[in-house]
Amino acid sequence: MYNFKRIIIMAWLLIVSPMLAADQPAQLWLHSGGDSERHPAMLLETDVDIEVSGMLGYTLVTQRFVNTSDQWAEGRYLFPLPDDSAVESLRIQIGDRVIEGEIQERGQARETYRTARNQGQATGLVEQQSANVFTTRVANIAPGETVDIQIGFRQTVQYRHGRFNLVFPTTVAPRFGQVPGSDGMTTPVREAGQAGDRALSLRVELRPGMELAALQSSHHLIETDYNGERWLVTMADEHQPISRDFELEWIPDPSRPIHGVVFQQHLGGLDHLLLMMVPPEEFTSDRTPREQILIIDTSGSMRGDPMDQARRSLLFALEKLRPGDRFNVIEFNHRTQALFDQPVAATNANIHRASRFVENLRAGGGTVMGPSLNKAMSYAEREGFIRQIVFITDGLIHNEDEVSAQVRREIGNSRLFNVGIGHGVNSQFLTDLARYGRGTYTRIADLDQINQRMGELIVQLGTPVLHDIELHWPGEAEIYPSRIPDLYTGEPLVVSARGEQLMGDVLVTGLSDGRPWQQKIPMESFQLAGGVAAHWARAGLRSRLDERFNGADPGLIRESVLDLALEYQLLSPFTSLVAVDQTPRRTRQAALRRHDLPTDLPHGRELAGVGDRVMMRAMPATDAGSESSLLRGALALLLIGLLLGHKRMTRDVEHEEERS
Amino acid sequence: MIRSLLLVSLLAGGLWQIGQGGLVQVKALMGQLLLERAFAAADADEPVQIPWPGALSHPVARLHLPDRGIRRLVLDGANSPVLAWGPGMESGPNGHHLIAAHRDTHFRFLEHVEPGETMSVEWVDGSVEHWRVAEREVVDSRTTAIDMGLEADQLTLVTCYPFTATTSGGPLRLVLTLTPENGPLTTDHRLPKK
Repeated sequence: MYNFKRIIIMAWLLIVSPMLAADQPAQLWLHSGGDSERHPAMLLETDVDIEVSGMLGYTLVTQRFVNTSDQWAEGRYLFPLPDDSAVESLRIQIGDRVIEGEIQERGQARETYRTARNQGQATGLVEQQSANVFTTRVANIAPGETVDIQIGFRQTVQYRHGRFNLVFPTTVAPRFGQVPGSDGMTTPVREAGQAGDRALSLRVELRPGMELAALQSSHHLIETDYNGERWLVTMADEHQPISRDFELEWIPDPSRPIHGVVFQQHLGGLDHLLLMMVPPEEFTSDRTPREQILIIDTSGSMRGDPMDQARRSLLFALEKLRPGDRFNVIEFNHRTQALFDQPVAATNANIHRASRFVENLRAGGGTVMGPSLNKAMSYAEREGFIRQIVFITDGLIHNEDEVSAQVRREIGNSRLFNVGIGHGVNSQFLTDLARYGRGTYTRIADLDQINQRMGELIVQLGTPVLHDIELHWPGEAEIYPSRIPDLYTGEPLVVSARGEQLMGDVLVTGLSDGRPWQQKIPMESFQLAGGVAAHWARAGLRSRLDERFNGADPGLIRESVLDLALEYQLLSPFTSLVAVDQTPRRTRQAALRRHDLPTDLPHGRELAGVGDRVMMRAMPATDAGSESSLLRGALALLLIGLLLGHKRMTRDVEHEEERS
Repeated sequence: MIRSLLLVSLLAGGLWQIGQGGLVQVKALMGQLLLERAFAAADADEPVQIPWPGALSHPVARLHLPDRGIRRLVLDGANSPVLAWGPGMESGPNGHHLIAAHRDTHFRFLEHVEPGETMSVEWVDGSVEHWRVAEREVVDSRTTAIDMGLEADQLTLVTCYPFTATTSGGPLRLVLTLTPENGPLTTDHRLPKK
């Protein structure tokens, strides 16, 4: 009966879904004045230029669009950036003019943009929608004109288990539910594999600051070039699909291991330090038994490869349970189902039963995350066991704040380890959630990464941590995160500090297996790096925003975030980047006429070099949608038949049962 | 309760969808019949004949594939409201013509048209051009545009692809490139004589 209902509901969604209009990600939508119709601008190329020195990256993303309509237009588009990026600059080139953006308070920036738009000036606006999703608007694009939108941002390279890792997301995956306050823009309801294979050129200039043993890309073919100081990485073939996130990994020479490094930048009369520390690997293994609650996301967004990866990751974790451990498996989509009522002993029979349960899991339905976590966190704590929650999901939900607040409230002594599955996963959210749950975040994008990454997670789950960590700075410092988390094997400690006088050695102390542990990072080893200040400010923004989970007054939070964002010129939920062309544009009529002059046509035109007067026309929409409508209609009628038939059938069965 | 809600919404949704789909097909058929009179009335002196009061466009040519028994009246302009009634034509400044139509109505027959096949275009002034399909390719509309600046020796037909898609609004397009049946119209493409 349950399955039957599910089929009906899915079919119903299929029939109703065309009524829900949807945007494509990273697609510029053109709106012409007075007419409600919108059409996609043609994306000509995307150009990504990343500079990395040490652990800090600076990225310039340039997307070039052409207004293929014959009307003046306003363009809007939605784009993803890597987690934790600090957006710094906006540069828009419309036709032959370049305009640069500046940070303003969000409401004020909107006002600036609207005024400029209504006066016919070329103008642009970048706003933050959620932690890693942004929208850009550009107004007054002439017919046939080309627009280059360039966004500059800083990001921190991840370091785990001896490997540095840089991710550039090329897609925004669809999320369940609505984006609040996003002007009715919704992320797309999109089918897998339809992500759009557009031309992407990507270039990374890498100054690792150390000898490398390996440099590789996880999902794309790359070409590398080394000149003794910096590596230049480019995509081997520009026509590789961009529906897969770009992930670059480099591994330092193992004969010269790094334990601690401090990057430094002096800005505005203040010292900014960024400390990264890796615990030595000679920690002894702790034999405390664990109670592992394995949660797996089986919602519709996991359908296809992600489900397969999640299933295998979970099986991997089950296999690694030790005798004496306890465990349970919880599945959730829009409802939550636990395999056992309470956690059970990790006997062979129980593990076997769990494996069969996991193998039979299928993806479908919505994503309601809260109840599954609540269930895991609410099991009574058992003396002598460490509670570890392993949460396998793509994190694609929209009530992120609710779930975050819930974890902070209910986590108790449990530790939360998140595993992000697939491409376009909501890493930012899963990283934050792991931070609140004092655990770690592991990202698995491909089947062939499962064994290695899950293996590393298992090591983390099995080995003791460095805890009660204290940092001793050379002077009075404002540090983020203010509460230093526990340290797991292969997981670095990353802390940033700001102060008036921070030039001196940094001392790190902590407890490991009850014994004191310490490490000194001498001032002489500090490395100069741009972006340290921006990283500090970004960590500060995040920490101040997190105050909302502690019940701080929203007005005060807003004020403190706004101050910091304006001081460091960063994009935040309360600040936006706005750019206005100060010189007046030609009048609408004049430019329209200009566009119509056939004598302006350049010869030997090519797509890559389009100017603003090309005669390129976008492909017309050539599907009236009658067949899909008829199909859906027929399906609906078929279902009505089935429903009525089903009713009669069940009634018959009931009669039979009554008779017998 | 839930069952009856489902039934009602399914019935409403289903009928609405069938109505939508049916309306598209009816419009497509009716459009061609109604345009016939306007096309017959048009000539070199009076090329623009409004087919009915308030009509969005007017016929400019007739596409004819005698072997397949296909006759389509082509309208001026290739935007969505026009395409509901018939294939639409846009012309570039140098004489290049583009004809677009819906894959589920007027250009369904393109599914089977292969390179080498011929078709004719009869203009409102009575002149007839003969064309041959030179190339058939499927492109991604997000990365490929049509160059309207091409010369008069090319005719381009566009429709959505694939023909069997069950959802509408996909990014792929089928593009047929046609060249004059009896050699090029202009001298541009001829090899220089020694």
